[in-house]
Amino acid sequence: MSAETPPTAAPQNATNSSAAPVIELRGVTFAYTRAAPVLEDVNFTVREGEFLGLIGPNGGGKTTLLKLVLGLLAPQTGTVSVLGRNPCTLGRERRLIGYVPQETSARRQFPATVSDVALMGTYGALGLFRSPGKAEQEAAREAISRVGLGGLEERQAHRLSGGQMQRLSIARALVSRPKLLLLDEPTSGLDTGGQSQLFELLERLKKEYALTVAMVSHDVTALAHYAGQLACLNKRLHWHDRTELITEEVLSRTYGCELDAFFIEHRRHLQEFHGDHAPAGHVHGPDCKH
Amino acid sequence: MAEPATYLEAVRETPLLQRAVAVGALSGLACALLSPFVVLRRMAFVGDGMAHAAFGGLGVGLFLFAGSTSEDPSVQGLTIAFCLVLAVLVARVSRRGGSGRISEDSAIGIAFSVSMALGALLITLRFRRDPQYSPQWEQYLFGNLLTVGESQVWITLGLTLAVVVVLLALFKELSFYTYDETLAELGGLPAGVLHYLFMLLLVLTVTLTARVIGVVLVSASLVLPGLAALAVSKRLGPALAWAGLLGVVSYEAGLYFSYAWRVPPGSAVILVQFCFVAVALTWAKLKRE
Repeated sequence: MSAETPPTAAPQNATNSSAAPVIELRGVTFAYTRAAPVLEDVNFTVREGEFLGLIGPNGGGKTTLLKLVLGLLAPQTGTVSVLGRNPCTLGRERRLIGYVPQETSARRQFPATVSDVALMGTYGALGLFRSPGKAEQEAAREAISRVGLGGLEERQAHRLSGGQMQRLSIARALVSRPKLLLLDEPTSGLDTGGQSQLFELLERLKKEYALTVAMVSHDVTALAHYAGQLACLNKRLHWHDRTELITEEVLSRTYGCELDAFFIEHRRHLQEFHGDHAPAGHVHGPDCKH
Repeated sequence: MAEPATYLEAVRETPLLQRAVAVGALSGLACALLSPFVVLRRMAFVGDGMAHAAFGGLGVGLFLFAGSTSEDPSVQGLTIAFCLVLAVLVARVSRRGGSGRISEDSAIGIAFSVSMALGALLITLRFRRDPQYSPQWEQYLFGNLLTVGESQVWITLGLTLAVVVVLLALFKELSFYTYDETLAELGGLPAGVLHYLFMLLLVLTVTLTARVIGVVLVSASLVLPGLAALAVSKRLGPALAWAGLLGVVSYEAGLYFSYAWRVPPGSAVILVQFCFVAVALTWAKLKRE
């Protein structure tokens, strides 16, 4: 596949920023089986301090892309570089990448307090045979309070609400002082209030911790509002600038399905209201049912 | 039924029973300490499979070494080696899921029921060749504690100590790994080493425990104490302590019932453990309400 379409050298989102690149993908193609590549010739750069939002249909390769950035997978062709290095060989430096995975029931059943879970973020830096000491306890306590869970340190983690659980997951990721924060659908399962609270929190943490953020989400509305850059992934990357409107055409091309009538109706209404430059943040996401 | 006092008297006077009590406590402790991890990592099926593999290894050992009994170090060693080979295969399949055409649980199910079949076949062949020994199925399947030799006590002590030392030394690593394998690896922990190390401990524990309560029931004692302990504990550390305590108590109580009622120790131990689970779950439910 990639032989017919040689990887393009230039990133699809050439920004004129002079900040150092944190994530850089060049001509990345990845396939689990030889027949069908999941990602094809993906090129992009995320620079220091940016917030990248990734949307796309299920099976579009979003999680695979995250795994490539985390160094859990290696591309067949092309290069992935994170913080200037190959993520597969980062070793212990991997903790500079904070990762907030999708919520699972297995983690929920684990017997631990809020404080225990946050402390796990320090284990990698501690090394073998060493127990967390005062410095680690303090770091965990700080991260817990920064995500707004202060006072709940001794609460059992499985008794937290969905939104609190995600905050705890973010706190655990922040304890190791990462430079890059990757989130995989952190808002799924949260109500609208919980979703916007989470985005507000991320916005604040991004500044406080000088983070670069990349997030996978189905929540187009919120991403378009908070993410500085928005990319739609469906095997290939379709790039959008925040200033660019997400049109029905773009979304339906990416999601590969007709958008629901409400969405189109809602956009028309917004455009009438705001003029032609309706803020992308008010766009409602498509509801795909294949 | 023998009074507890009579039983204690018998233990005091019979070295055979003393060894049984020691091996029971050690096996119970080793199994129980691993059980919260087995429950949380949803590895009950793997534990079950290991027990079947132990039976396959026993069959191979008895068949290969003429005149041997299941007590011989050669047979024991071969059983452990056989289980280790299968454990490595299982660990490879279960690590980040195999991408083959056979799903993980099918692969494990096939490997271990074939081991069991192989064991049964080879043990029968061995005893047909050696008619002076008759295969004592009940002993293999439900435990043969009263034939434990002194060397067995020391081997069990060594293995149980190994389990305790590894769990103490790597508690934080194993707990993070159990919480989430991928996160632990991304956090810079040697997730692959932990994965294989845990499998190794599981194999050693299953093979040493199989002789106490039998291969059929081993897997249950890798689950039940953990289930009870997790129901009453808020954190992993206390859960391990509870599991260890319940493990030792259940094995000793089971041995007593086995002596008193002349029933296989394995059945008695597992039923005692099941009572603990029932009590713990009821207590947890009442506390929630």
